Amino acid sequence: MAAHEMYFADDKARKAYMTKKILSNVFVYLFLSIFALFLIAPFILMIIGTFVNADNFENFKNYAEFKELGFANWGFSNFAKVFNSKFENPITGEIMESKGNNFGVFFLNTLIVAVGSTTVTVVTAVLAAFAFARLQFKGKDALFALLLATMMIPGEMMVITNYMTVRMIGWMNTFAALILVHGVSVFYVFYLRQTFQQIPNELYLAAKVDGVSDLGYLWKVMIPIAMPTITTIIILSMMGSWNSFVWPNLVAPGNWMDKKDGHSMMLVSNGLRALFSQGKTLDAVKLAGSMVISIPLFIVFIVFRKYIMRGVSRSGIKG
Amino acid sequence: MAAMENTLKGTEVVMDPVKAKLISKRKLIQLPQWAVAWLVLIPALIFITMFMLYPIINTFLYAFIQDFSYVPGGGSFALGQFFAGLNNELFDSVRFGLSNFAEVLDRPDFIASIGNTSILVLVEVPLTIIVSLLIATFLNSIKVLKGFYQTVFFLPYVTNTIALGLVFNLAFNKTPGGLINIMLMNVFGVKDPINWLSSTAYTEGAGLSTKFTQGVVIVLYSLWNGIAFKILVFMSGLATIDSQYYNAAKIDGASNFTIWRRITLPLLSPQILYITITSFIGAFKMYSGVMAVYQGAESTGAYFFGTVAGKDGSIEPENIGMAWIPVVGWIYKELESNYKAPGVASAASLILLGIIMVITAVQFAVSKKRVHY
Amino acid sequence: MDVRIENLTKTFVGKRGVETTAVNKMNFTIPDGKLVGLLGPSGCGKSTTLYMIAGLHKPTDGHIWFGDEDVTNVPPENRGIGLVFQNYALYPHLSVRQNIEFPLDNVRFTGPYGEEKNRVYDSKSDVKTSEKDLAAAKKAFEKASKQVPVLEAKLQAAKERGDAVESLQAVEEKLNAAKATKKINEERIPSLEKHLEYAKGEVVKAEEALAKKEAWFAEKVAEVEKEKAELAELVKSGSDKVEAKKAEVAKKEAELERISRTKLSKADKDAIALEMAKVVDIAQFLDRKPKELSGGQQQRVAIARALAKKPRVLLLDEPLSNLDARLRLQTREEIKRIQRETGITTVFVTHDQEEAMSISDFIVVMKLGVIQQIDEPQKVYEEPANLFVAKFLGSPAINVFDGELKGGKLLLNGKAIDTDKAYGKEDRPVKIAVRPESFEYVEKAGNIPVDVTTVEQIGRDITVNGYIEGQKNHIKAIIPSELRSGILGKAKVSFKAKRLYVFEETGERIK
Repeated sequence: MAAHEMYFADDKARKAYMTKKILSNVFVYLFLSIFALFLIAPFILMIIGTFVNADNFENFKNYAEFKELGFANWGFSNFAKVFNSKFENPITGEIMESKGNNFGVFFLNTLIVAVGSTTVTVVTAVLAAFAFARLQFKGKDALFALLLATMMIPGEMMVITNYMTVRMIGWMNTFAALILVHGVSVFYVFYLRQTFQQIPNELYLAAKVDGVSDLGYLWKVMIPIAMPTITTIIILSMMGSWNSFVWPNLVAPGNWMDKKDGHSMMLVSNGLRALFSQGKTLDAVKLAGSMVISIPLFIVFIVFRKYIMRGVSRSGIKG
Repeated sequence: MAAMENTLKGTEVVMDPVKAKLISKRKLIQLPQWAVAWLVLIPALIFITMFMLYPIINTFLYAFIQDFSYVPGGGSFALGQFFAGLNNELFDSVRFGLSNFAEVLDRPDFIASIGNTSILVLVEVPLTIIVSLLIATFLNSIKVLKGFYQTVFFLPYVTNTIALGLVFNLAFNKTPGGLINIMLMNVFGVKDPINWLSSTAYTEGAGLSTKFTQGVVIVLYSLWNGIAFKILVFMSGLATIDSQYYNAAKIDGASNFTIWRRITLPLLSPQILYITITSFIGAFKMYSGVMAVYQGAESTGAYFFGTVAGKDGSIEPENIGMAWIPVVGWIYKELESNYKAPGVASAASLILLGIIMVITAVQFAVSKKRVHY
Repeated sequence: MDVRIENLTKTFVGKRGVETTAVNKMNFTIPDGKLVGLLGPSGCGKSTTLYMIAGLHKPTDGHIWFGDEDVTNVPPENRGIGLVFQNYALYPHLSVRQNIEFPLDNVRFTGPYGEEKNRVYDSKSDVKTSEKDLAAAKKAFEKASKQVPVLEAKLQAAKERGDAVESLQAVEEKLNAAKATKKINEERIPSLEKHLEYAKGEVVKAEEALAKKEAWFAEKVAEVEKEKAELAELVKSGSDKVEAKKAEVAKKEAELERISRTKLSKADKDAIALEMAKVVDIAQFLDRKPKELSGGQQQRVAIARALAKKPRVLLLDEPLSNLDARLRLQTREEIKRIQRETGITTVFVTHDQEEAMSISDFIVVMKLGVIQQIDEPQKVYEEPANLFVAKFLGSPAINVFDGELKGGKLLLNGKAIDTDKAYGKEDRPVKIAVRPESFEYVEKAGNIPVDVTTVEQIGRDITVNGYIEGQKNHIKAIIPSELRSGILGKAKVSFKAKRLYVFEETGERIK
């Protein structure tokens, strides 16, 4: 109810109420704004780093000097520096000229892994969810319970053996290790199965009467109807690949130390960390590097916000 | 059917005199449904078996193999190694036992990592949950700019862990003092710059970073990252609370704070429980966040553990450091340096699993009294 | 195409050996081109019957014939049926046109001798299925036969031991289940064997027909070749008959192509869709999606989809229950109109007797899997075969009283009721039933005295609610409004029954 609709004993009481209300509103918005600022701050920093003159940025000491920093070419010079960064051997200071150790390669690698891994994920999830949602077969419940159980085991336990497997079958530094090992997500199978189950049974019977086989029903009816969910899965999966770090760190550390053939298999996260963790890179360039990685994510977020928010609230997994 | 046939004469679909009638196609192969099901499941099952089921079993087995040493050609499967070892005369006995666990618990760096992780978890999780709860409550109560704030608080979801860590690292660590320091000195009037992360003294007056300062940075990072999901869950929980409860309470004369404490929180308790459990579990497994903040020591391929530099400012190579190595970090380091004998790493991961399960069980027991559905 | 149901049975065997017979040895024939309603309360088996005609449920026993083809073992998509579901089941992601065209994607013309080929295939698979069924029935019979004596002995031993009631019951249940299985299969085996013989004969017949047709087609092809050769000759010789010959050849070739084509072209499909849409009157919605249409319109799309493949039989499952009352009346008429225009044999299922009465050519009244009566609607209403039918048809429901036959006279509460019918010599208690509109108000004492509870005046009629002394059921009578002066305000009124029915205690009608 608005204040003017409420009943007050007298004007003083009304004023007291209004003051209380205004104060509490101020407090709420202040609280929210402080934390909102906290969240936005890293992005502001990234933007600053991208757009200022990199050399000046390195050494300013106080606010006065900060104001003196010049713009650098709308950030393009810093972006250029990002893509031109090269590895340096920290001990000898020698620049590693081996090909494929630059950001462009990392981008490409990550793109390939994202597309490949998402394809595997979506295909297996669609087929498996279809089997659990629509088909009858012996052992269905037991198998489902088993999959449920695997979801509860922390991934860290599986990493050990997977790492050994990868090393022993020679999949270190290959796309196979990056794409296939985490190709299947049991969670997406559950999520899609739930969506499939919401398709009314009569539709299936109607299609049967119309002469469609089970697989035909999947292709012609179920997938089109479940397209929003499938799109959500695609987006979350691609984002997950883009942001992955732990597993690529283990199996694709790149071999830039090795002068022989150094086509790095690193993904953007690993590449960022390895390239820029050495002290020699200019800070502004580091920030520009973070910016470069973050821009694609932003674009995806702006375009697909609804899908992402819907998918995240179901899972709590960041992809 | 005569009526229908006549009406079609004007179209292409003329029923010609040779009695072509519309009839459904016959299928050549009729697979029974269960065959289709298993066929369709094969891709998923292959992946799950090879990269999920097998590893889980394998890890358990490895943890319990006594005094393991790698047998070439035995392959990665634990039992394979086991039986290969039996046949090989180099080893007196290969049997199951708890030696791996003993070894793990004997290592001071492992114990330290458990301690590290525990402290970080105990600080970070309650802090993040409380902040998220407050933000969600406030968000739920405002109308103007609600959408804007919701989008802002969702941002952590679309950020890259490492990129973010790099930014945090730079903010706290840049020479000569990092942006935070600059802000502290110029805006808040703090006199000397604080060395947050680095273990080299790079500026006068700064000293070396302490475990405490590093911890602060890590906690701030985790807070930044962690509130998005929690806020989302709490808000969807708040949305399901019928406003009738609030109206009834207001009529009964309750203050806003009382309402929050005695109506909102209890009705939100299922979500709070869910968030608490998942946060603790997730936090105990923390790894990439810590790595992101530290942004370094990768290049030489080795981690340096250690405490901070001595009080007299001496810097030993082994004191350069990442003081807060978490348990998972320890496991991965162990794995990388010694991948052929994963017994120790496996035992450590089982210990981690055990800790997580204990915490979860305790929380469930507590929840029975306090959670209302 | 008439539909003949022969001995159709569907049994579900539950967990504790409890046998639920949803449909019990039904026999009836639906004449070609008629609209037939399956009417009955929930659980009477009408939907199960419909689904068995459709092919979605497999009958436990019995046969279904479409014309002279036994379709019992034919899968639904090959029977040539159209099915309209209760909630329409339209594909939400397709437009109305695409929905109607959906079944046409799977349609093949039979090609030159495709029909014969299909016949061979169908009859062969019928033989396979029959053999499988027979083997399964034999196996089940043997297993059950072995089990029965074992279980009987067990039961005996348990009784002698003095076991607890629950364990005795458990063994008894198992025994009953085994006995039931044995009996069912014992009865089935001879009929299955007969069917197998028949099926094998069909295979032979079908193969012969195929051979004949192939030869015929080869002849036709040769004919066209000959014509073409003649044409070539004429062209070479430069005759002026070339044009005429060309036309002839073209015509013959077109005909040959039409005979051998197997799929529908997009233009064909669109034409069919448009035509169907016109029949059900939704042609202006062809490009819309289902969710943009009202309930009644969606249902008509469902009907169009069912009709698109020119089915032999159209089946509707409770077509009007999802519509609001106003739409129901309107759509009822639409269904009748569509059926008349297309002339397709149609079967629909409903629990609403008014619906069934208004549009059906025949009503099949069912109760617990058994047919109670099949007749034209008015006959079912006026000449019910038993008490159940009498009570089910008619709104408000018929009034039922306890009476008796004594000395050839019909007595209600001991008082005789005039009737001009003879009900037989035997003295026995009976049920007397009178429809509300069959009561006649007479000034002088009629033979049915009523203690009045309420009187409702509704325009044209007066409804009198009350009790007859000694009867536990209350009475509802509908009297024309003009007679109200004699009734209003009175606590007791007398009626005479213009028309009444007498039923045995067991329910059959005494004529």
